[in-house]
Amino acid sequence: MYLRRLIIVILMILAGSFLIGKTFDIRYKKRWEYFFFTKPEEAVYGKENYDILFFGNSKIHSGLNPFYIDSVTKMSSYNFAVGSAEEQEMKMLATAYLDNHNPPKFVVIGVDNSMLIKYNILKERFVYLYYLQNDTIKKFMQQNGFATSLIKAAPFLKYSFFDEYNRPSHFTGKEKINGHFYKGFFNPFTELSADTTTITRQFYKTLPQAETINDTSAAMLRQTVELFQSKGTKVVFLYTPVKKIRKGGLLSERDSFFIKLENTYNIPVLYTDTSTLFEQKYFVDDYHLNKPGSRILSILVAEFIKKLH
Amino acid sequence: MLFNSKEFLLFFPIVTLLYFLTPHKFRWIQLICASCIFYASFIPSYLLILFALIIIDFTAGILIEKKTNKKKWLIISIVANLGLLFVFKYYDFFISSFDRISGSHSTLLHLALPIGLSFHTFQSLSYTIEVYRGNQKAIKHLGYYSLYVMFYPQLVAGPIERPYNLLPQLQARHSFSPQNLYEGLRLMAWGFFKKTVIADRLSGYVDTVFSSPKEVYTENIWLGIIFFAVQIYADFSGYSDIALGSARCMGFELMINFNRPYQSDSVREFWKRWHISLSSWFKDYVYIPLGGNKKGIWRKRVNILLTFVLSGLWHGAGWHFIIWGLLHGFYVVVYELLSPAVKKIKAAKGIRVLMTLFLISFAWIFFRASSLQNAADIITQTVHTSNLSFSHMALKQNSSFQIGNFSIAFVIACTLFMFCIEKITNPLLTNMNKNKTYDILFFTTTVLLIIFFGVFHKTSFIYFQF
Repeated sequence: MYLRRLIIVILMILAGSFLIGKTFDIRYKKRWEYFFFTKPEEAVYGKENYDILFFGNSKIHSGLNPFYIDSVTKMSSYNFAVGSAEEQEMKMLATAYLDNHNPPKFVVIGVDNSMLIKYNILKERFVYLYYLQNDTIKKFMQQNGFATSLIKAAPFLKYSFFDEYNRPSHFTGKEKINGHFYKGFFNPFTELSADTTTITRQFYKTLPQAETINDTSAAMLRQTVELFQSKGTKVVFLYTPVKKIRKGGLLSERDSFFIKLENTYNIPVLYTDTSTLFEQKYFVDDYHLNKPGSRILSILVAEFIKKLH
Repeated sequence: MLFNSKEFLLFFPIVTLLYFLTPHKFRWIQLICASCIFYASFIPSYLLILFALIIIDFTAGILIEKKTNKKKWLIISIVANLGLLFVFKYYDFFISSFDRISGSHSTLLHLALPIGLSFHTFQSLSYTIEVYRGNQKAIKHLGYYSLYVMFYPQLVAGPIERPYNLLPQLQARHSFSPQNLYEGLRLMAWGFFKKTVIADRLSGYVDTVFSSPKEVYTENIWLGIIFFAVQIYADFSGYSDIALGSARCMGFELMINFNRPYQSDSVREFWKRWHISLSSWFKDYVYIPLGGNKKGIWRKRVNILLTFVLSGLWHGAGWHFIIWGLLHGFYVVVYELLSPAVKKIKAAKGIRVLMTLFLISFAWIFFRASSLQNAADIITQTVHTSNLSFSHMALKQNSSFQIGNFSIAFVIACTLFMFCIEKITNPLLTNMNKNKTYDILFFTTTVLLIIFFGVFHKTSFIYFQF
């Protein structure tokens, strides 16, 4: 009698997990469709082969608009930058893209002071748990402590790993966004936002060991550069703009690391961090450009690539 | 090994299956091996301490029974157990307290406390004391005695078993019973629900409030205190449920450790329902030997206070734990004094329960605080009305663990669910068996809540530190 009851419970748990899992899949994807899903979707399932790819963090994500790049260069580009991305995520997306596409002609990698700090962002990127059928993504997520084989076998188990920030996503609707997405680019800011300034300043103040370079992150960046160069892709470094009060280039250790990397791999560099073009009115905070600012940066980058081409 | 770890997910079914596949006469070996693996996953070398204690108490038990120098052997056993506990747990505390008073600077040991030391020393002591009292025959089989101390479900955080309950069960032949398996798994699921869905979800909020009380709003402090009362119950009773459930799958019945403590209408009642195996240990082996209530009213009050101070000290080497114990002792003594008047008032039970809950929650501040200063900061902030806004219930810790309004509402709903279920059922949930449909729904819902809403990155159990 009790064995039968236990079997019924197990069957009901399996059926319930499957149904709830499927519902949560739909809800979570709907909630984060633009912010998180477009890029892995493009890297893993996208059909189009792009000529130019952009990698980096939020500065690139909201700073380089493929619309202007494509218009100036007459090539096709895609923005793979993700907010708070670190070198590990960059390498993962790059590898996943190259697994399924022809190599691009150019890759632009954003460079700034927040790079080369390892705080394991992939541990919080639950979006990639939806793409474990891709071996590259599975390998990276496994390295970040996720039971990938288990989740692949029983996909509903991915929700056991979710944090308190992502869990409510299943119950909230699609986020209202002010602006539009275009080939991985998104910038909703037309003018300075006081809130963002505060958050960003706090964020940078609390960056762990901001002066010291993390060796693993440095190796990841080096490997990403080598990966693209081995496929014949021209890698370009873009030093992203910073507001005047923060000017002064990279922190010394980073500065020497990037100079060495640029010399070793013969990487063309576009410095916009010291450019006088970027007046205060083009920033939403100390580091992020608003829409008009991103237009200037996109055109600068496009012209630079055009010359290299 | 933690119950809420991936390793235990493999360990438990393998050990349970092997238990039934192993012939009866070899089962003690199988369970000792399993317990060693379980314990060695923390600090393997501490197994040696455990073995040393087992040898001492096993020998003491046999020699006590021989009735020659029985008192001497009991003292040796007590000194060995409490001495070890003192060295690992209290030496640094007493020496640094003495240094503070005298102004001297002594060298501290800074030893890592072996996991569950306070639990298994008390369980060992209970054996030698019962043999001394003649209530328990000394066991001649070192294997079964080792298992009495090491039995993995209750090795690191209790329940603190009594020899007359556990030893006969360890020697008995247990056949596979589908009912035991079902009830054990159901109880384990309930324990995991309390631990992962409630306690670990609350821990982030509570940790933030107690680590920086001056940087949060007054309502956060209030909520933090209430949440800690829920967290510690869900955490520890959850652990006990998993321990009882995993033992039950193999046919063992461990002591019930919690019996709806927050439904108590007095602090005295609370201690009959909270951590029953420890409170009854203190009653049997401290309060009664001190004279209990047999030596006059004042002596009784002193005995109560002393027992509670020792109970506080058992929980941790810190003045805030002593104050916590003293406060509970004070509550009980005052209740004794006022009880004739209280009985006349005939206040509704609900009001008495709420009053008791308030007193216990206040005392929990000292238990959870990192120091007396921290406790004082928390208490000061509770009345800091200028810092009250009622619009900042949510707390943001960091990017990975944000305790927003959703989490707060969800955890409150789950807490209500927990208390409602425990109100209508018994501690082992066995009266759920009566209604098959409700039982299946309850079991399924519990597991689904764990899968989809369990928090698995906060691993340790609060009582592991004791």
